[in-house]
Amino acid sequence: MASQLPLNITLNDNISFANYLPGPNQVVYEVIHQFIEGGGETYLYLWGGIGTGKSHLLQAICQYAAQHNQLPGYIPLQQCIAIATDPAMLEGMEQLDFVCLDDIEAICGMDAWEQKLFQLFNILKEHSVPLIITGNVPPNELNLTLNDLVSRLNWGGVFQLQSLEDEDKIQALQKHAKTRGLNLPDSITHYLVSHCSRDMQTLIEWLQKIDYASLAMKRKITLPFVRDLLKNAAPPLSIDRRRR
Amino acid sequence: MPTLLWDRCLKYLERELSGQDFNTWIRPLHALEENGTLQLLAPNQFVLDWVQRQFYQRIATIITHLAPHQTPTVILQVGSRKVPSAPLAKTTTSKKRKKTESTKAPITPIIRLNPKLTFNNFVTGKTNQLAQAASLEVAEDGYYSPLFLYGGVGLGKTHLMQAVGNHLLAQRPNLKISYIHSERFTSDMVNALRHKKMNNFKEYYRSMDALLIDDVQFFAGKKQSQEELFHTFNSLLDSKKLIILTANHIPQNITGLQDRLSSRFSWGLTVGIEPPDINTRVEILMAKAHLAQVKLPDEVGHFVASNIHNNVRELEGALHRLIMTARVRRQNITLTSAQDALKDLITTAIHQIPQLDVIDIQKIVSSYFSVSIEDMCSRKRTRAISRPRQIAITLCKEFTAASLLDIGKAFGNRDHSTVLHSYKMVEKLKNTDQQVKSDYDSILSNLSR
Repeated sequence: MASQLPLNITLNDNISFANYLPGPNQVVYEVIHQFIEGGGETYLYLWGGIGTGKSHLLQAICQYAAQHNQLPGYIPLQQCIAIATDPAMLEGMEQLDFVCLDDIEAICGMDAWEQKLFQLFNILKEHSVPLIITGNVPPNELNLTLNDLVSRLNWGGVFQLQSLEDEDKIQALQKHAKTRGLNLPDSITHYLVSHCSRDMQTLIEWLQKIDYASLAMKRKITLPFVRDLLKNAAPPLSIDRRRR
Repeated sequence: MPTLLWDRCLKYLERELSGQDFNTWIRPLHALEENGTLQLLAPNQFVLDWVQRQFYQRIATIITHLAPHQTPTVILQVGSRKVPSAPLAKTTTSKKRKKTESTKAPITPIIRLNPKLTFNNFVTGKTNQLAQAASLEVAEDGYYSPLFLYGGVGLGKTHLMQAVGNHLLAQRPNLKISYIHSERFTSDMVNALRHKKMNNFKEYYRSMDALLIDDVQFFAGKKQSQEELFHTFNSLLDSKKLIILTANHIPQNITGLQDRLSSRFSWGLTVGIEPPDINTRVEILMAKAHLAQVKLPDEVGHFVASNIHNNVRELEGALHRLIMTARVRRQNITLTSAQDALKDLITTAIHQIPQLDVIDIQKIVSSYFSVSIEDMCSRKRTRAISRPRQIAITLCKEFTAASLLDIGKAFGNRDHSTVLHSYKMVEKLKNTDQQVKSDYDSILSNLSR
């Protein structure tokens, strides 16, 4: 089938609280809101497995802070260590109003990064700049070498994020579809949840692929179209391969 | 002040870039518009360089598009709106861009003590009363300089050290007291060297009436910082000023520290703090709850203290968690709510189950029930085989990300509705059939090993 490439721009999901579905994480979600409204603690640690919405929440927080005339910063450590050999990019963050650090597990055992993070923690506390850190496990299970850092990570509230139930995933997918201007019939979201790897990250990547393919092929998104795409397109990086 | 033009530019960039790129590189930029320029201040050189390489062209194009007649020059520089910096680069389009410098003041202003850290709210018990008594004596008499407090992380060394400072200040408000972390001493020195202001640096630290340096083990291996600290140390002691230091070990056991420094560190009074016993832990929790104006029932205090042994910071962390959760739920803290809020700290929590795939689960279930994987995947429908199969399928749905379709395939090419049926069946049986519940829980604990 002849296909036309859509415009060469990234179609992003405009990540915000509006397309976040708390599901079983309602209490944590409210804790986060209370936290970003300020007045209480200045540090929070969130942990959970892949696809539990950690990055989504952090980016939504940045968007929220910016809307309230604050200067937030989002630091995805997994990506940072891929582009920077030393942790210089953590400097000067006390000049911001809000700092969100994603995937702390990425720097475990990297002495220079651990030390810099420890300094960052202290300096942000000194300047009362709120900090939210996420990891895949609680601080004590991170295998960090710097005990001083572990103990600080345990200082604020440590909260677990859980995966959504399949029914919630369907709703979450629909929310994401809506922010992309798509109206997905239930049959398609059900099909995705029962036929794809069920972590939210993979499901959202499929959604992006479907959106892109329908634009490229100028086809309406129907169940046969999706079925066909799932059969023929390369799957997104599945959770298993990501783990390896 | 945020500028209208930059706000409009942000809307374009937000649409074009991935959420991650936008939040990482663009949002932290602070914009200032004046005299025909749009200054974008980045928090550090790394962010500046990255924005310059990846996004500068696009930003310039958008700005030109938005303000075609009076296009401001876009200037990227390291800086902060809190400390406006002199333009360090004319424009980043110029290849001869001047090296951007840090805008930090080379010398730290006196760092204020945290007024909340006082002797009044330091809870003492067997393991820390000696350190508390020694600190109080130093605060009242000023003898024993240096006071060296050592112990594991999160045991209250910083609290005691600052309590001395606060006590001194309360009596003599004009005293010059500086509390710093050792890393800060080092970075100040580096800044002073870079700005050729070492004299200011020396003068500043040597003019203190009391110098409080936290975590001196971080000086390990840093020769130049140790050299400078050595001279600062001597100068302050010569003028009979107070020095308080903390570390994770006694001076002699800190590796990477010059002998002459570690021996000087022991000249005054060296006192250790051990982890608190359970009674002290309960008292600490009660005191912290009282400070936060939260009612913490005794039984909850005991419950938390008996489950968290490591250090005071972890105790505080658990308390913060209880307080935040109670506030959100608009409920008082009770034993049940505490057990629920802290359940991952105290039970064999689900998070301890490693990432598994379908085959791992099949193996464990097969060995638990002594049913071969082949049988589990067969069409056999006897209870002895179908029950293990249903339990294995349920565990796969719960603890792997595999699609229902793939789970079905792995169990003898069953379809996804069979997977759902098995799952629903086991979920129901877990509530009604004691045997199924106990088998399921046993396998779960096998999985988490």
